[in-house]
Amino acid sequence: MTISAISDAVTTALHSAIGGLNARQQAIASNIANVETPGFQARMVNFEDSLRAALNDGDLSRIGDVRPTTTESLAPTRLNGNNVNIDFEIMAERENILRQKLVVQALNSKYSMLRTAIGG
Amino acid sequence: MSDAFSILKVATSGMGVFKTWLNAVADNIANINNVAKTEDPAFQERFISVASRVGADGVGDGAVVTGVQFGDAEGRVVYDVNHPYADENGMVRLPDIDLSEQMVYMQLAQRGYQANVRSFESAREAYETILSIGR
Repeated sequence: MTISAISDAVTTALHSAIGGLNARQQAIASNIANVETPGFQARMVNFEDSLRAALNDGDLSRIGDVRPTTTESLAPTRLNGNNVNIDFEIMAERENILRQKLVVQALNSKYSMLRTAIGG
Repeated sequence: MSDAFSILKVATSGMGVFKTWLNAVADNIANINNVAKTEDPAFQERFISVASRVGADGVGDGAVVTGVQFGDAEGRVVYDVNHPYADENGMVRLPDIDLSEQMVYMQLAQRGYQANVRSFESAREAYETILSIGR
């Protein structure tokens, strides 16, 4: 990834964030699909920590290369070996949607600024 | 993230699982009063087995029905001397299905299905947000 006016650290970080949020949305959808699957452990996606570390580092290729990591939830397990907490999943789902809108809005503002600059 | 719009498929897989479960429960309830001769097997309760799927990146990839299991064909033998199927002792065979248990399963399956429909709607909303980038 090369540094240019179009893809600077901010847009690269926002792209990584969209990828991470998308992975989390999928993990939540999968947890809800498995809400009654015996022995299923809920999965959680984290990308913020590695994105923050990469941003502190300032290395643009690392920022663009942030991969979401998946861990299994440590929530208490029910009798059928399942630990999906549906209230938590619904809440996380809504929060994830709002975060995604926020990121897209930030990206659109960035692009709109660029358009203004290009238009002179 | 396997392919574009894959979260919709994940939510649909959940709907499929709960729909199959609901089918099994409906089948059990529909056949709950099936009378059989004592020398014949009783209607066997239907169970479904489900497994979760995990994609290559470790993010969950939904659920899938892996098979159907059948309950006890023994059923329960009850006294019903006036029934045409009654044996010389006046006994007939009925399936060993507990209606209240089936009603609980039905509720679980229905709520599970609804949760997945909701999840589908959220995924759609998320993709619509993504498609608005650059507008």
